[in-house]
Parts: sequence; C-alpha cells; structure tokens
Amino acid sequence: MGLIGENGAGKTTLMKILLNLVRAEEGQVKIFGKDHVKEEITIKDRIGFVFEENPYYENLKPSQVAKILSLAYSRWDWNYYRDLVKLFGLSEKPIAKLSKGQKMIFSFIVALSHHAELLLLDEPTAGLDPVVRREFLNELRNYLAGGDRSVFFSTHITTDLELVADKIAFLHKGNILFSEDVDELSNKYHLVRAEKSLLMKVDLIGYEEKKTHAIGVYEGERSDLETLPCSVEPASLEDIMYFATRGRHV
Amino acid sequence: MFSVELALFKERFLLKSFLTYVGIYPLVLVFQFFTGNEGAPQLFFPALAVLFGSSFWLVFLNDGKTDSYRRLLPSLPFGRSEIYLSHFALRFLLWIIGCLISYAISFFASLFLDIQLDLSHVLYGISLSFGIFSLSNLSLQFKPMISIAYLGALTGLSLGLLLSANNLLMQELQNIHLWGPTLLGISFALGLFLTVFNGVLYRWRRP
Repeated sequence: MGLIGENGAGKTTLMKILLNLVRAEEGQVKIFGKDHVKEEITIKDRIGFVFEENPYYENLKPSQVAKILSLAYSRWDWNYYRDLVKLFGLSEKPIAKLSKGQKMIFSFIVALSHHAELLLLDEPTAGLDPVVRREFLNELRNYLAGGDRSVFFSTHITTDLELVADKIAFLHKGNILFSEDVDELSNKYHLVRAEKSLLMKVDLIGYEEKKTHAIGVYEGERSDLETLPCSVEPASLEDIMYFATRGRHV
Repeated sequence: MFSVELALFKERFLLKSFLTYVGIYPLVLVFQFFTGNEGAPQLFFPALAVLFGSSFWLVFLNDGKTDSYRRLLPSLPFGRSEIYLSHFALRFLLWIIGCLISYAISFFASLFLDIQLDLSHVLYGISLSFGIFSLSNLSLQFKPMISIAYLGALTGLSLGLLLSANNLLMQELQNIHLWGPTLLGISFALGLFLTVFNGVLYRWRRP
C-alpha cells in the first residue's frame, strides 16, 4: 500500500503510530489482527522499517549494527543479510560516512534480513540515485512476490508507487482523502483540459487556470464527460495529489 | 534486551566523546588529591564514588546523534518496560562495580595518602553516589546531545559541590543527624522514587 500526501500531512506520524513511537489521539491500530500496543513485541518482530533519517549508530559499521540488531530479531538471517549487502554493494565503513542513499539501503537491508512480513517504509527512495532506486524497487517487488507480505510505503515520488503499489491512500492534513486500488484510480480520476468557462461548470476536485484554457481533475465516470468539448485522460497520482491538495486555484 | 545492551557496550566506544565532554573530571580528582593540595583527603572515596555514580564515563557510548532510547530501541521488538529495566539493571550493576573500584582505588591510595576509609565515610560516599546515579538515569529521557550535556553538568556540579565545600557538607549532615545508615536509607528511598518516576515517565511519554 502506498501512502501519499504533502509535507506535514501526517505520513511519518502515522508510521510512528504503527510502531508505537507516538500515541494515537483516538482510534485503534491493529496489525496482523492484533492490538499494536498489547502485542507490541510480537508485532515488531514481524515488522521491518525504513525511516527517512538513519536511526542507527553513526559511528558503527553496518556489520557491527547488524550484529546488535541480530540479537533483537528472532528470525534474523545472516545469509540473506550478506546476499543483500553484496547485491547493493554496501560499503563497510562507519554509517556516518555512507551517502544518504547507502544509509537508506542499509536500513532496507536490515528491514529485509529478519524476514519481516510487513515493511514500513517512510520516504525510502528520497536521496537514491536512479540506478539504486531501480534496484531498490526491484528488490521490493521480489519481496512482495515472496508470499503473504505487505509494504506500507510513503513517498513524494508518486511514480515509484505506480510501479509497486496495488493500493494507494492519500493523506491530507491528517485525514485520509481516499484509499483505492491503483487500477480503480485510473478509472475514477480523469485529467480534463477545456476552456475556462466550461471547466467552471464541472464539479472538479481541483483545477488550475492557464492562459488559454483550464486544467483539472474530475472524480467519477469518464462517460460523464463524453458530451463535453474537452480532452480527457487518466489522471496520474501526481495530478490527483496536486489538484486535491490545492483545490481550485486561479 | 539485556544482550542487546551488552552488545551496545561492546560495539560502541567513542573515546572522542569521552575525552571531549567528561575526560576532565578524573583529572580534577588527580589535581585535587595528588598534587600536594590536600584539602580534604577524607573526601577521596566519596568523590570517586560520586564520579562513578554519575555514569559520566557512559558518555563514550553517545555519539550525540543516535537517539537510542527514544527512537531506535523502541522501534525494535522490545517493550518500553523491558528497555527501561534493562537500562537500569545494567547501569545498577556498573554502579556497584564502580563503588567497588572506588573503594579499591581509595584503599591503595590510603597506603601513601592521608585518606580516611572508615565506615561513616564509606556510607557517606555510597549515599551520595547512589543519589547521583539515580539522577543520572534521567538522561535516557533526553535527546543525545542534551543527554551528554546533562551527564557532564551533573558530574561537574556534584563534584564541584562536594570538593569546593570541603568537608562542610559532611559536617552539616552530621549536625542534623543525617548520617551513616540514615543517610544511606534516605538516599536509597529517593533513588527508588526517582527510578520508579523515571520508568513511568519513560513508559508513557512519547516525545
């Protein structure tokens, strides 16, 4: 599942709530069908996480941190860890000296090395170069292909989600605006271009006026727009996010 | 969890942090007691015990960036109670070892310095040391850099107060009959309260 939303929407807070690092003001969280506070330890043993900021000891080398973490997880797999280190070409030098991308990759390797059934990834592709990003997404797809596994993935790079997510939730100012299957999104949201006067009459989730025309996103059936003199195409995630966040903008 | 704490001790050692922030304190003691400035040799054991009690040397585990107790460890499969108990248990063990080392050093130093190691001074040292130890445990509530500053300041203040007042603090405590086992009892009671308070705060607080 992909989680999108503008800065400050609450994506990181939601991740922290899932890990019980932040207390939810209301509501209940259940992971693997269990209460995330009462069953905290067993749940976390089955969760891998990647934060945007490196949480590990900066003065230690990856293998030293892994040695400590291997004591924490019941299903730590050294062979898998070594394979992933090799695959991503992770340097064996103090974490403080690794690039932002390498730090992220190390977190990802740790998250995978204990055979987590759920991965919580908070902006994992931020700071990755295109090659590593592609490898990262490939490995994520391999992980998901492995069986009953889930990924909760927050990002600003919506194209990443189009590659790996089968469901998207859009968080805006702490509220979920929608939570839909990716396939449904392209059927449900349409990017519409038409004359300004025409678009003003259509009930759009957001639009923007240009010099000669206006552009906006419509939520509903494509057939609703067929009689109108406008161009219609499936809205991308970025379009939906942009127009839903900004609303009607002149 | 305890094995993770032990592994942390083994894998992490930041001599730079140690020397930068707290390495000066052992030097203060050397200057105070071994350079002919024998202000209050009876304070040698209490000063050493306070120094170990403040866990000042644990600063070498802190890189000033990694938020072990508020961010990393609670993200791993550990409950907050477990993290806190493990944190306390290991440091309590180290405090006992610190007291024994302090006594051993004081004993050997007493062979060539006028150091008093009678029961009352030992109890006085242990009482102060345990009080400072309990206060030092609050450091897990703070951000890494604040934690370093807190431990450094706590050690500096407690040693400063102890040594600058010469023997005044001890005499005042004697005057109001807070001495020996009574002082030790008060210290342990306060320490217990602080430990429970710290644990409850750590368990419930979400920074």
